[in-house]
Amino acid sequence: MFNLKRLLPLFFIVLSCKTYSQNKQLLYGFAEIPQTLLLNPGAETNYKFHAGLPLLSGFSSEFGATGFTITDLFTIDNRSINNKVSEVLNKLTAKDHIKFNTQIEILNAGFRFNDKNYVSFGFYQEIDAIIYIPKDPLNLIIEGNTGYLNKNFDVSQILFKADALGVLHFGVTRQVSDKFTFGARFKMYSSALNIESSKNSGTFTTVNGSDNMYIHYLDNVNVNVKTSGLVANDEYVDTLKTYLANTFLGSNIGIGIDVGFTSHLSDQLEFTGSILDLGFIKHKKNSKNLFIKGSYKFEGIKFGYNPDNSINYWNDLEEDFTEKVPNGDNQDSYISWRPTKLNTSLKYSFGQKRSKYCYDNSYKAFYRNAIGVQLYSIFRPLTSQWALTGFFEKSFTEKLHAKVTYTLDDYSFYNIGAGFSAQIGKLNFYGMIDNIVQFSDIASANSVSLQLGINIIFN
Amino acid sequence: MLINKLSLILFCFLVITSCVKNLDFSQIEEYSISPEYTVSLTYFTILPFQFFNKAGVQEAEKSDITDFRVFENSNVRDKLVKLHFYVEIKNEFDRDLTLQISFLDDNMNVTHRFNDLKVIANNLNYQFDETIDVSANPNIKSTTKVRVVVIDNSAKPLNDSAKTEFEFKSSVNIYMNV
Repeated sequence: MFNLKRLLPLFFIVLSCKTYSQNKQLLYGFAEIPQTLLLNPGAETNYKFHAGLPLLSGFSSEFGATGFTITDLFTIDNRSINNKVSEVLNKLTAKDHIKFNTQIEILNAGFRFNDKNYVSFGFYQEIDAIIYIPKDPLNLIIEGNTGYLNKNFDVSQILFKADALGVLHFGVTRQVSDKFTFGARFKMYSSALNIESSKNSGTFTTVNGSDNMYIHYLDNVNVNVKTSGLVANDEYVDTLKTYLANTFLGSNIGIGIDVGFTSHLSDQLEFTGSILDLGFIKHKKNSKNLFIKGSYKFEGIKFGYNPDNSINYWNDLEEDFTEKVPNGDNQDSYISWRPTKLNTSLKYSFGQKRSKYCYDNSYKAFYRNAIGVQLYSIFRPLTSQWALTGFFEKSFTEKLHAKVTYTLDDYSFYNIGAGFSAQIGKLNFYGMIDNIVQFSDIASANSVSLQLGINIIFN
Repeated sequence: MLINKLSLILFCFLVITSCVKNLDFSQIEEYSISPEYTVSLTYFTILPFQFFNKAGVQEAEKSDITDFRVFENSNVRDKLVKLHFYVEIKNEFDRDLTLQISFLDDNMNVTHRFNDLKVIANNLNYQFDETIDVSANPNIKSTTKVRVVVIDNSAKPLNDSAKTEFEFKSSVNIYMNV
C-alpha cells in the first residue's frame, strides 16, 4: 500500500507531461518555447535554431475522466467495491468518458531558413484513447435484464476510439509582416494500432409476452468495431516491437495538416489561432472489423408436437437469427479521422516595456505583463469538447517567464495552472503544472497534466 | 548540470507536495458482478386433434424435444450459479394432463428432471417454479436438449374437432457470478 500510494503521484507525473492532442493551455503561445510551434505553427519565434533533447524534450501523458474520480472507487472507507462501482455507474451518463493520451518526442528541431521563414520538423509517437461510458450495455452485463423489463438498452452508447501512431512532421512559419505571422505543418501519420467503434445504433428490450412469458427484441441494431494493427494473420499482435516498428512509415499511412497564425492588432493586442491535425489515416493492412446488424424478435422455442415433421428448433433458430441479424468479421479497409483541435487566443500586453535580443542581431520590444483568454476545442466521436482559459503572463527578465491560467472545461470548473520558462545559456527549460488545486489529492482530480521539456536554443 | 538539478528539484517538489489519500487499488480483486438474465424458453399450445396419429388413433402422450446449447458457451457454463425456472399452464381440457420436463445431454441421458406436473382439468392458471443450484446439481451444465412430454392418462376419448387448448409457457432466470 505504502509503495503504491507513493508511486501514484510519480505515475501521474510521468504520465502527465506534455500532450499534443489535449488542451495545453499553459504551453500555448507561451514564451516562444519551440514546442508552441506544435500547437500553433504560426507562433512567433525569435531564435536561429532549436533542438529538443530526445526523450527529455517531450515525453508526456494525460488522464482525464468526467463523472467520477479514482477516489470514488478506491478510497479506503470500509464500503464494498461492488457498492462503490454501482454508485459510480448510477451517477454516470452516456456522455461521461475516460480519456488517455501519452506521447514521446523522438526528434524535434528547427532552424531559421531566412529572415522570414523558420522551419521546424520532428517525429513523435502517440497513444490517444477515449471511451464513452456505455451505461446501458454495462448495466446489461453487470446486472442483467431481469430488473429492467421494458427498458430499451441503447447499444448506440458503445463509442470509443484508441490510436497508437507515429507522426512525422515538417512545418514552416513565415513572418508575412511585422504584424502577421502564418504557419503550416504537414504531418504524415503511421498507425500502429487503431480500434474504434462509432455511429452504432439499436436497442435490446425485454417485455412481457403473450404467446410466451417474455419477448426479447433486438431493434435496428447496427454495431461495428473496426481494428487495424491488432490482428495479423489471424493472430493477435502482442509484441511491443511490432507496434513500435509500425509507428514509422508502416502500412497504414495518413496525412494531415496544422495551420495557424499570430496577428498583432495593435502594439499591445495580439490575436492567434490554429487548427491542428486536420487529417486522416487509411487503414488497409491487418484490419479486422466486427459487425452485427438487423432486428430480431425472440419469444422462445415453439414446440409443434408434429411427429410427421420433426423440427430441429435450435438450428432453425440459429439460421433465422443469422439471416435476420447478420454478424461476423471482415478485413475491409477504412478511414479514421484524426481528432482535430482548434486553438485561439487574445492577449493584451501591458506594463514596463523591455527589449530582447533577436536572431537578426536586433532587439525586440516586449511588455513584462500580459493577460488574455484562450479557447480550445477538440472534435471527439460524440461531441466537441471545449475549454475556456483566462491567463496572466509575467516576464521577470528577458529569459525568465511565468504564466498562470484558470480553465473551465468538461473536467473542472476550478482548474488553475502555472508554468515557467527559463533560458540558461543555450538551454531552455520549462515546467508547467495543471490543476494545482487538486495536486494535494491527485486521485480526486478529474484530470491532471504536467509539462516539462528541455531544448537547446540558439538566438 | 544546472538544468538537471532544476529538473530533479522540480520532480522532488512535485512528489513531495502531490499526494494520493487513502487509496487501496487491491479492492478491485474483490469486485465481482452477479447479473441475472431472464429468458423465454419453450412454449406451445396443443389442441385435441394433435393427440391423434395419422391413422386417427388417439395417443396417450405427445412428446417434443429441442436442442438447448446455451451451456456450450464456456462463459455461461463457468459462471453459472443458479437457474430458476417458471412455468405457466392453461388447461382447458376436460381431463387431467401430466407434463414431464426433462433436461438431457447429447447421449439422451437425463441431467435433470422436474417432478411431474399434474394439471387438473380446466385449471386455467397453473404455475410452477423450481430453482436449480448449480453447485449441488453440476450435471445441469451438461444439458444440450430439453424434452417436454404431455400425457393423458384418462383413457377417455377426445373430440378431435374441439377447440379446447392446453397452453404452456416457460422462462428461466439465469444467475451468474463473474
